[in-house]
Amino acid sequence: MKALVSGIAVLGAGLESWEETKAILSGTKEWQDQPLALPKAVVLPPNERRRASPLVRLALSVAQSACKAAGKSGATLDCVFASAIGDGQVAHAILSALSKPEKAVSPTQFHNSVHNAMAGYWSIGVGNHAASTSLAAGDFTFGSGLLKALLTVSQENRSVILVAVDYPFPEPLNAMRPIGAPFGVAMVLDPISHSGQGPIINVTASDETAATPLHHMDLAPLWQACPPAKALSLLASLIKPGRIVIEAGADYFLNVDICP
Amino acid sequence: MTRFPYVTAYTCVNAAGIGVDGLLQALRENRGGLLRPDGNLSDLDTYVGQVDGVDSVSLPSNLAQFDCRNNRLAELALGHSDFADQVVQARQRYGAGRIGVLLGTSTSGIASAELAYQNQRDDGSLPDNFNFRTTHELASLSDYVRLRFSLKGPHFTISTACSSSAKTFVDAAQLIAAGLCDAVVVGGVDSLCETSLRGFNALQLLSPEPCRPNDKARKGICIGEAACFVLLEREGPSDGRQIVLRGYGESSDAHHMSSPHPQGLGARLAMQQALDSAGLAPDQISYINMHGTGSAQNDRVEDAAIAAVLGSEIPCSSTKGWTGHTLGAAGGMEAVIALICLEAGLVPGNLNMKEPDDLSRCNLVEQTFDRPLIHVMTNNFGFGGNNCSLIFSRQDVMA
Repeated sequence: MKALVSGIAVLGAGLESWEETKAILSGTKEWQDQPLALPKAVVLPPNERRRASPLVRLALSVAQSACKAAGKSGATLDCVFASAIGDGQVAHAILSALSKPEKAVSPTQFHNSVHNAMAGYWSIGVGNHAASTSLAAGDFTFGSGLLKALLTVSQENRSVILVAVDYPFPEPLNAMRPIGAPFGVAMVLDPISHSGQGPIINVTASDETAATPLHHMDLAPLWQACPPAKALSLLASLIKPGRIVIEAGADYFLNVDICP
Repeated sequence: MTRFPYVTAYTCVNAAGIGVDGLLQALRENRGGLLRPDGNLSDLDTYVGQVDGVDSVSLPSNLAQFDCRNNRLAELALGHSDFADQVVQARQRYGAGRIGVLLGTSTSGIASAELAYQNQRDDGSLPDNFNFRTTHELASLSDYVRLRFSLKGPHFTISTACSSSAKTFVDAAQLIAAGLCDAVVVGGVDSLCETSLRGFNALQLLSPEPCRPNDKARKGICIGEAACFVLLEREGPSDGRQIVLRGYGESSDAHHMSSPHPQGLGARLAMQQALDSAGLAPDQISYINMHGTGSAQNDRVEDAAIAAVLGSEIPCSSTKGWTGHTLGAAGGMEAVIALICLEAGLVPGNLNMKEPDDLSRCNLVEQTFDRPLIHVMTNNFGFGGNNCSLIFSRQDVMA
């Protein structure tokens, strides 16, 4: 399954953009552990923008940046949103409310608690009526999202935006399911018959039994702990083309070949 | 789709019936399963579709850490209708690495997290017996089923609210068409929990009586729980009835998080795409299983959208009067109802509807009746404006 990578965006602690991430991964810039500065969700109307959770802001920010890099509005792209733990702030608020005698769940929190809330806000923000999925696969969430995105490109012949994001839980859930730090990545993937600038990736089922590790001392802990950050090994291979192996399941691996 | 994946096995449990035979009997007898909630939900003025016997289900001992209501419901369904044997045989036929597991849920095992929060220690930490990754985490469901059968293909959980498990069929069809899988276990599970019940209560959507989708006097939705599984395969059975997933359509409303597009734009797009991908004309559809939650706004938008895309002649019904709205399991559950009806030659009635909404233009079926079916469409529309329509067909009787 082949796809043209026409737009990329990255956002994380000390990773303010794809350009900066590229420089860090290629060793021309040193990574600094700085707190993540989340931009406003400018794609949303002002009242929704104000209430958007950190995860929604992270997702919408990388989605919009990737579309900008690809020169697309986002209105017609199929959508794949991948997140292992979903909106931890919202889950914590509801679970806390349910642990009190009144058990008063906020209706807004409730509709924001669906795993596809960020996908819903994205579709509203950019006026997207296309197919949209939201998935989770624990530590294999990025590879599963990549697989689904490539299935869309190869089987439906449609362009897709893959958005993989996670944001740590507040306590006490964070102690149960720590993911280290927030991280978001978005990629616009087109059928290779489309005209466009960018590398072509070829994704195939792999016989390997381990993923290609990220060879970057500072970012390896993020790659290890935060499910969407598994994308960093793919992003690194875009700089230095070659084959890498991505986990798309406990016993399921994908070869990703970068066609120069 | 150039080739349609075959349905080779399916199973379900819901409030109306345990196993395929149990549900078929309930459909024939017009006997629904909605009752007053008990336990920690008994203060709510509504009816729920609760499955009997979930509390006494035990998981295989090597998977004990997955124990939660959601995975018990899954295990209960896997044990019926010969489903587990069929998966084991498919694994022997194709190999574990060629079988995927794609399942839908909205809340996974969140009831375990609710309990853990209610038993927080003084320092705020959660009790040691709570395991987030194997219960509340969305991946828990697909992990449980793949480990239960030692499957090694791709596996993930889809969570797009009420369309979740319908969408598992789409991704499975793509995996098979791409040659990455020979078979995929699809479907979904959602279980009763305070989050869903009190959330819908906060939205003032719960019905104080057994829900009456499409009825002019309907009063809202009833929440139910269900588990359903379907085995899709590249190759069909060499004998007997051949049923395929013939088409699918997916769309987004891009309108509102919890209200449908007023003109049903997303619903129309999903149904039209399903017809197009199936290569079928509207008048070839024999029956439409509606999303039909029992909320007046949702029902009316869907009714108008069906009339616009498929006309007003095709028999239509919502089966949520039997099961309640099973949320993330609804898409798979209603796909299983479509499969049961295709095999049995049955059009299920719109249980609890006494008088159709004055605005309705669809051919709403009041009472279950026998009729051979060839192509059946099922609709599921969820929060976030996420829509999915599927078409299942009897290949053995197709012209």
